[in-house]
Amino acid sequence: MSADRIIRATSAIASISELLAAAIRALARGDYRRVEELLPDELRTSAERRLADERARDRWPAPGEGHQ
Amino acid sequence: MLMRRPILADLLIIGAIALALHALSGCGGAGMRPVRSAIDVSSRAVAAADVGLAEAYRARASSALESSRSLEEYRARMAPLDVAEASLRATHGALLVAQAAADARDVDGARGAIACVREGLIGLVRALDAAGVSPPMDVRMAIGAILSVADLAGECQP
Repeated sequence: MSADRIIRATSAIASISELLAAAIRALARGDYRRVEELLPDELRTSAERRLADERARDRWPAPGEGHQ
Repeated sequence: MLMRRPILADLLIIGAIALALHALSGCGGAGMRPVRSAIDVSSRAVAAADVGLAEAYRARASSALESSRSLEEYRARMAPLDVAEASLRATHGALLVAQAAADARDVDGARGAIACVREGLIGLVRALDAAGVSPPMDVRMAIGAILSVADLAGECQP
């Protein structure tokens, strides 16, 4: 096994153990947060999509939708 | 270039997390505690996916806007990311339904809603994969957590 593969395997195991530890802590904590506390009303991705759609419509306006 | 982990490794990770959470949560866990736990873990997973997808969306949209010659071409280029965004939004919606059911102490309603969250997260992993965005480990962890708790077994009936 190459040194690179050993390093990758070791870091993968470390991240799994960190995740397990985080899951255990979350479960033991017992103070659950609400959806509204953890997520915004409009997700960041949805906001990006909305803005990108606006830019695309500005660039290729439908007939009769051009800027005044 | 994205580093893709073999599916077997993913399954082993989900299985390990599921076993650990199952052992920790006990066999019963009656009431709303498992539901609230699933809502918490899944919301954090959606938040993590949202950060990565928003970044990818902004970069991809900017590039597609520059390189496309028509709105149709732009939309075609963005289609996989749009599917992922819709999947993320649907999971967010399912989480809000689950939260409302938990607030109303509607155990059956909450189980059904959590099943929709689980399906939403599974769909999200597929959509992110298809869009070339690496799904965050939190999403797999949330799926494993929901699958591990027998009290959360239910059918999604949107």
